[in-house]
Amino acid sequence: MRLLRLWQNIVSFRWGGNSLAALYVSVLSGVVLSWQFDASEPYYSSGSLELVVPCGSFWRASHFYSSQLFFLFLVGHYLVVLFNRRREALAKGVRSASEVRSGGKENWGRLYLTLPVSLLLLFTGYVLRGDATGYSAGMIGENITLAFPLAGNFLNPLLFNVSQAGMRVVYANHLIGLGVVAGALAWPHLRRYRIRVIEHGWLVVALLGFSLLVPAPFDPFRVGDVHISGPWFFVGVQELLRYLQPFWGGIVFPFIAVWLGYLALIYPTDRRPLLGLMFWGTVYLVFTLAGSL
Amino acid sequence: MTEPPREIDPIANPDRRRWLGGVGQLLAVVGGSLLFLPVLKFIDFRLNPRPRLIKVSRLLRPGGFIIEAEFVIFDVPGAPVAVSRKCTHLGCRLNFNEQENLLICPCHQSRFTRQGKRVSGPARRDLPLYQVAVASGSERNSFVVTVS
Repeated sequence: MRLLRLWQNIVSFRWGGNSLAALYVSVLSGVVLSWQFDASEPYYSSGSLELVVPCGSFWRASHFYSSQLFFLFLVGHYLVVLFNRRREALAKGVRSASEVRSGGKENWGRLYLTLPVSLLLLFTGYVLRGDATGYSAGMIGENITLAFPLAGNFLNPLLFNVSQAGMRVVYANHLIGLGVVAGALAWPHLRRYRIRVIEHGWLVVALLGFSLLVPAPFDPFRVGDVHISGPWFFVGVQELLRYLQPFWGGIVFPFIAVWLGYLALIYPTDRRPLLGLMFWGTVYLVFTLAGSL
Repeated sequence: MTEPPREIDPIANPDRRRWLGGVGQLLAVVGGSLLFLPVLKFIDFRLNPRPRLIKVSRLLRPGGFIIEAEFVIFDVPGAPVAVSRKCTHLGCRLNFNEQENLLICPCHQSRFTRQGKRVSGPARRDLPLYQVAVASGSERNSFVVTVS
């Protein structure tokens, strides 16, 4: 009974609304940070924000934690939508996939793309820290991009190019490019479902309170360091790259999850993409745990 | 008496019109691609960064090392060598582990000797070496490294 109530609470939780409220905090704190952040000296700049600039640690923390929360709520939103669509489709007795696809006003493919784009936004944020974690994540991101067959040399200057341009490209993408893409993808959806931030006041207050107390992570370069863990969502890929070539570990393996996630959304009555996604998630969790030890 | 060959009016003949339209489209695609080629070649070209001279003013003890952001200067038999700190696997910054006497990548644990030779790990290539010049008149406490 308790489990059932817990499940009902999870399903009825306003994942999307909370995600958007966290995004508002993230965007506003990001705008404030941009007044002090210098992309030509990212490490010095992040360190100064943490130690010297008045309230710098608070703004950095609120940007960091709100961004993490935005993404986590977004994933929760996706999973609940997935669950609801499957339940509705089964209840209606929908037979063919095309019948499901044609229903509703949403352009699911377009909307779904906001997930990987948001992940990229989160990743570029990590890179911009310019600390040991950020620098390594940027270099790995660049080398994975270069491993794209044929398009690698073309994509890298658009996405990372850390070794040649420092943080210039990453900063431009984090601040403008990816934000514009994510906004354009989600725009019809956001016009349909609006929120009032006051209804999510508890979340905003909790976020700001937490940011006052707990500084955002910052990993200085240590000369003897022999192990650096990447961003939490990237640890599994980082571990995989020890055994696989960048093309397989950094492109094909994550792409499988993106593709399965899309299939699960547009074919809600089909169990195979769901099972595939669960299997992928289990494998990824194992690699993440192995990389964290 | 033979009749003169009749001209086929493409407007009156839809098949021929379609065929001509297809040829036109094909030519447009080929022409467009040819125009796009110089753009691709231009974007794809990677100019090697200009070599930079980096002055290091620190004492290199016998058998010791000096660690900088982009390289490590090691005192090895013969002349000092500057070894790149950029891992040849995925570009992470290597650290020197004195206990193992090896350069170790903190991201994926590739290992390299003081001469930049790969020992183990996912990296496949040795590390690049940079040219080191001992500044004239100095007692091994001033070096100029050419990073290329």
